[in-house]
Amino acid sequence: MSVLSLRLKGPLPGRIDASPLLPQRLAGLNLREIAALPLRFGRGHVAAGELFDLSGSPGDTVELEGDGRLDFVGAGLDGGTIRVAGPVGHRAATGMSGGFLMVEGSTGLAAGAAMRGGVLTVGGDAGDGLGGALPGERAGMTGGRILVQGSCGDRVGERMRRGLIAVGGDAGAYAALHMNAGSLLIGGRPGATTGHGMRNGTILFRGEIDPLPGFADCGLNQLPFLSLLDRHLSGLDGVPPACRGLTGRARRWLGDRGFGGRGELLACP
Amino acid sequence: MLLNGIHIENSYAEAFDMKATRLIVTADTPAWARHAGMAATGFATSVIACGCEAGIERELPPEETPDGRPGVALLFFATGRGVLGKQVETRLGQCILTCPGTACFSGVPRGAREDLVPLGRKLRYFGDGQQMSKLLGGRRYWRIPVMDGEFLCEESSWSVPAVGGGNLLILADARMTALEAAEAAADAMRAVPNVVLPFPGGVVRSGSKIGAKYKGMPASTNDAYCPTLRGLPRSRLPAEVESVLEIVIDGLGAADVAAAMTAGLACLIGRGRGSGIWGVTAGNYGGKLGRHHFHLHELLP
Repeated sequence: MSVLSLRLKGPLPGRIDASPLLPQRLAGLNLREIAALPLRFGRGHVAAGELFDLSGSPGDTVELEGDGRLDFVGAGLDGGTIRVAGPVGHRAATGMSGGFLMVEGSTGLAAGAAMRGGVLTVGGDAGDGLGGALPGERAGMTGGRILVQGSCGDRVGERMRRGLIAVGGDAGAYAALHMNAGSLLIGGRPGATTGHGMRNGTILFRGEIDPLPGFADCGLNQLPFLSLLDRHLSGLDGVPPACRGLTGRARRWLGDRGFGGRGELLACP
Repeated sequence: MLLNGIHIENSYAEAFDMKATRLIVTADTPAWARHAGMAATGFATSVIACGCEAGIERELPPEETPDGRPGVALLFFATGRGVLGKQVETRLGQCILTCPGTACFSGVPRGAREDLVPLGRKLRYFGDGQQMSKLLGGRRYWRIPVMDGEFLCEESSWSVPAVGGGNLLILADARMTALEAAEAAADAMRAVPNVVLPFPGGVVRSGSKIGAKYKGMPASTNDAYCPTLRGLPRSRLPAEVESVLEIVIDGLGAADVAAAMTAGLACLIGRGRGSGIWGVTAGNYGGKLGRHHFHLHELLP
């Protein structure tokens, strides 16, 4: 397996668009060509070689030293692996359709937005709009998997249509806003107005919640699909421990009936 | 050929290409999984009039099922994918959906689109709009609200090539000795994976030949092996034989059917002539109808 390493030479001069640093795009280039690769920086460009020390050989894996001002890391990724030591900026893994983006630190806004496939793992916290929709788009995430060990900001899984988001910590407000389908697992406490406008899909969390009035309380239920889900999660790497151990019994609310929805909120003990 | 005093006739079983699928049905207890399995594979002894042949392949411990509950593996065989799909659909809807606490999964690897056998894909409409689906690990599952909670059902299964109609005929001195021998042989054959014995208890007493003197009868009694007719010229039975029982085997592959027949032969030969078994033979139609021929002398243990 070939690994290309990019180490930061020093502090970044500003926000950098790292979207060209995809394994499959770099695989056909040599180190000199990669060093000359222009990365968008403000109104202009900066060569990758000016920001990063390059080593290793281009192939199916890219190792990147992260920074909170490195945006669009893994955006449009469709294969291979990107491992990031440290945090990344905004819009990591947007529009990703395959492969792995593994961020050891935290992510900024809109990580995994409009994701279609592949796996995004976040070791730290995620910002607002995790796995959400790009501005103006009708559908958010339509496939793939987002696993966050820490907490996430507002509007996680907005307009989600398919796929799985598992957040180990708490979620912000408006989680699964206008969700169409898919699964959102919150290991900690869900925020205010969770599930507002959802039409279908599942939001699963631990502990208590006071749902919006559009949700009908269906009481405690034995749900066989929960053990199937738990088995599925146990076969995956990087699932937050708080999202594991689903017992098969959950309190269920159906909604958001104010929007004609029949999605579900599931509170697992 | 005489083995342990038992005549092993130089004959062969003639078996046919079929389409099959495997369903895994789980429930809260092994007993309820068995109830569902028995009902779903009931009235499925022969494609002549049942539409399909089916049976419980084996019981599954919780660690072998997708949802970690006790279950049964069911095999369904039919002459083609279309009729298999129709049979599975109606049996799933009337026998598995209706059984308390059950869930149903495909037990075969994902296949091609043209091999699709719909499960929840059609049954979901029973949910009347309240059904939900979940896509886990590339497989779609339907959750249908029912009166005891939820019926969980995989969206579809797939048909796989299979072989139906392997058989052994047990020729014995008396009816009870034939029955005891057939029971023992059926038990031995059920231990072989990928096969079912579709008849009641695995045993059939009304073996058939193709055609009849009456119009519209596709099959009629196998008079050459009826002991009450053993004085007639076309009888194949010696004077000592008073009862004949047949075991029919359907399997996912020719090797599976052969393995089951070998297991059955080993059991029967092991019992010996002293147990009342006169001989063992196999049923065929002259070799022109079925592609698979299982020669007894080649299958000896």
